[in-house]
Amino acid sequence: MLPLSLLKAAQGKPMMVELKNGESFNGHLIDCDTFMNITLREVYQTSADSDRFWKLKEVYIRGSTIKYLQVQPALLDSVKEEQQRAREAGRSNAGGQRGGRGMNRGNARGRVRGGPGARGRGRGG
Amino acid sequence: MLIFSVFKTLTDQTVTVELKNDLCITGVLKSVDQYLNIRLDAIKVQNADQHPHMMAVRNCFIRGSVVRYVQLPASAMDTQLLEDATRRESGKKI
Amino acid sequence: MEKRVLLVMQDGRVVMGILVGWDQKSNIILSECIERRFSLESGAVDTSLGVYMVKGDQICLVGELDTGVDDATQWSEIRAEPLPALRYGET
Repeated sequence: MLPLSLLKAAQGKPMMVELKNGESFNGHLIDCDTFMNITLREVYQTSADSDRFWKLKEVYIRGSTIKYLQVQPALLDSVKEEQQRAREAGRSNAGGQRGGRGMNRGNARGRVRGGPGARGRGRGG
Repeated sequence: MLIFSVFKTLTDQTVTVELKNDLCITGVLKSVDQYLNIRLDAIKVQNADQHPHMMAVRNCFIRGSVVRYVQLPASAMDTQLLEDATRRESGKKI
Repeated sequence: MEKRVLLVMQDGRVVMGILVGWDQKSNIILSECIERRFSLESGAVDTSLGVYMVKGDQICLVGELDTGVDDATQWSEIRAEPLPALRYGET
């Protein structure tokens, strides 16, 4: 599983982010990109020494400043299930096209990829 | 790129890697990549009694950027060849 | 198939978990994470952390855990200095 797939699937879900300077941010992931720049909403910020707290409406965090992020374990299962479904859909589609000409097989694969991918993007926006 | 090639010739040799957190790890070099990330097998940490943290680890991946030194086996090094290759490499850039 | 690994981070933290994913930049996903905190005053203490995604540039070392050895070790009786954070340059 690619780290970025997990991050994408975490959109709308709660997460905790620790920065390289030790500060941490708890909030709901709104958006992310391939640099792991992220925006969180309804955020509780904790200072590096964990004795000061702030409540913030929305924060943007530059990906390069992140040390790690923590997500809910259930998220792993849902990404795994989604990937399994995508694989099965691909297999059954390819099976239907078996024996066909190369061109047709290519088109079938194209459709499979377009399907779940397009849905994923829809949720993100 | 020259150093990458040198490391590739050292696969299956025993090397000692000193990290920037002062850990010294000895092991068999299994692979190296363009970033000089290193994979070691059959590892042993020096001063294991003071550094028990990795007692249950047999092989590892070390990020190239955290390596301070690599101690190479002298027997596996051809310094004359290395000098010539270095000259060739620097000549290319001029 | 998915292996239990030990991660040493650049800040000196030791985290163990199941390696479920990684990418080209050596960002990694670990599930069922346990942080092992060492100290000289008392034995090592394990804390559960759940699922972590650690950025590649924070990684120092990733090792495959010999779970037999790990399970057989009484970590709560092992005292050691915590690993230091990375130190660049000379002191």
